[in-house]
Amino acid sequence: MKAIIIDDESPAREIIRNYLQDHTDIEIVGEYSDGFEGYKGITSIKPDLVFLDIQMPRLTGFELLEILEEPPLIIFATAYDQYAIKAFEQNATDYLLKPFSRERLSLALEKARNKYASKQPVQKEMHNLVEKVSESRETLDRLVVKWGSKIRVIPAEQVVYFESQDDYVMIYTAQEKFLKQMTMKYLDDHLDGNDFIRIHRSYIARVDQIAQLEHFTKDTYVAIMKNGAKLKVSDSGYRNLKDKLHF
Amino acid sequence: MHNHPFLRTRTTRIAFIGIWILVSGIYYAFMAMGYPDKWALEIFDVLLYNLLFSLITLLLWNAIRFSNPEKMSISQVLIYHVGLLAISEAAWIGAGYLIMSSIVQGDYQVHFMRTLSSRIISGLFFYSISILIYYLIMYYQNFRESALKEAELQALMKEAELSILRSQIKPHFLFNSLNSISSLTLSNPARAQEMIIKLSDFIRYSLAESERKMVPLRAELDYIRLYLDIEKVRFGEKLITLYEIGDKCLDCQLPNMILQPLYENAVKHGVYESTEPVEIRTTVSCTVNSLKIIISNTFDPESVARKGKGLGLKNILNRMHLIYHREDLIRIEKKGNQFEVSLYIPQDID
Repeated sequence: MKAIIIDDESPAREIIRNYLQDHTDIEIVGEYSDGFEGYKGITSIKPDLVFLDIQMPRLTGFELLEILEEPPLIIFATAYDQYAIKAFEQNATDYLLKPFSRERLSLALEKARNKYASKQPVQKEMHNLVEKVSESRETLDRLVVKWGSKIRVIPAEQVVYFESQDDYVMIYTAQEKFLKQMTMKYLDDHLDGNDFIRIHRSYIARVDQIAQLEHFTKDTYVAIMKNGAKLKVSDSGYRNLKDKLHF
Repeated sequence: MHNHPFLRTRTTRIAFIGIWILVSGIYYAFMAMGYPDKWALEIFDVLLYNLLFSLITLLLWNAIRFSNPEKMSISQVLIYHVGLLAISEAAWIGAGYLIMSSIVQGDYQVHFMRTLSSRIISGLFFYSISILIYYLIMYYQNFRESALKEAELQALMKEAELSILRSQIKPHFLFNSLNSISSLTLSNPARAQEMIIKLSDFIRYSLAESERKMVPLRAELDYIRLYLDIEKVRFGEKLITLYEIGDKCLDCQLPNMILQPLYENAVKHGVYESTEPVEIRTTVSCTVNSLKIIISNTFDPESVARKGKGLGLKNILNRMHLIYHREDLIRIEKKGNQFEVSLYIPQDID
């Protein structure tokens, strides 16, 4: 099996490398110290197995997983991440708690080998895991999008508004827009309620990006955003705005 | 009777006796006791009855202090006091009658009947005044007690608040450090040992120092160096530390563990999120009455800032406010790819 290690701490990569010396069927074909490089490594080398840290620069382990189309087998390694561990347990995904023993790693490898031999695609399991982790996350402060081979991390504070498009959401920043597969409900539940507001079934707007409200007809309104966009405001959206901005 | 509010101290005892003598004087001057031509008997009567009621007054305290009018209905309070008044009057006038009738020759009963109604009225008056004073004393005591409890509670809360605000070792940091040690035991046992010692010293300081409030800068900086040394093992070349510290500042006092959360932030937002080397610089200067500590870190402009809860900084602000009652002791600046926190610690000697 071809394996890569993604961890931003060199001693953490080193101990996995050391432990793997006992397992001659595992060949280490790459080592990366941040999420971006790790993503590039996975998509170019296409390893069979990835040792993945969660807390990393650029992209976290979960953000990386979220944008992988064909995820390989993954063994997570984390020091302390309560919500992640909960998701692992609900999902029966194997994970290593740092520091871990040689034996514990062997056990994880044994499971990985079985999964590998059964040739069952792991896509569904990983998809579930990403969903569980996203659900348990506290506040969504950045969004990772991918188009073609490019990856962008968009801080929530740069978003002007979100627009629902069937199973996708279009994310509008001041100059650009990005399509991401997600639901408005998820955004509504996880964005910081102080910064974002649902103004319509199809729109969530950043509060400080609303320039003004205008009458559309006698009883309906449109929100004029600072980037010039005009967004319909529903009745309940208008109530939300009223509660939030006290007018 | 030691807890009796009138007998508790010498002063209250003298005041109590004094007031009763005064009352007896007034009583003598304005009331006829029924012996128009025998002034000695008149005085004796006044003194006896007043002495008797003063004893009753003292006893009334026990009846009053175990009754809580707030827990009784108005009718219960009324019945209670009417009953108590009747007992007091009966005891008072009865005892007076027995004593006087054994002293006065002849038909005492005639004298007695002549003054009975005025005695009952003055008994009512004495009773009311005594009860009123007792209730006032009780309310005052309760008030003082609750004020005292309130103050104690405030102090406790402040203490608890401070101990929460003091930084605690983050599990993420601890377990990652242990993982580094685990790794080093295989590749470089000597460094592993060195790191175990550093981590132990670090933990020891955070455990011990949480009991002390003010510490010299020297101790805090040693602690910070331990922390950053441990992080250096984890992140290697990615973490660069620089110190510019005026020698004479090392004995300045500052609240314990106030700096560590700032370094923790610098590491979290600088090193954790960066792929390039990050520099954490500490600049310390001081005057006679102020210590100035500047902690700055570079950060990767490419990294997308994770918001964080800002708890570390908020805790420090709260702590500084609790200790110094000032809001202007921390300045936070972001210039280019550098984040800088300036801390001003007053050096008044109290």
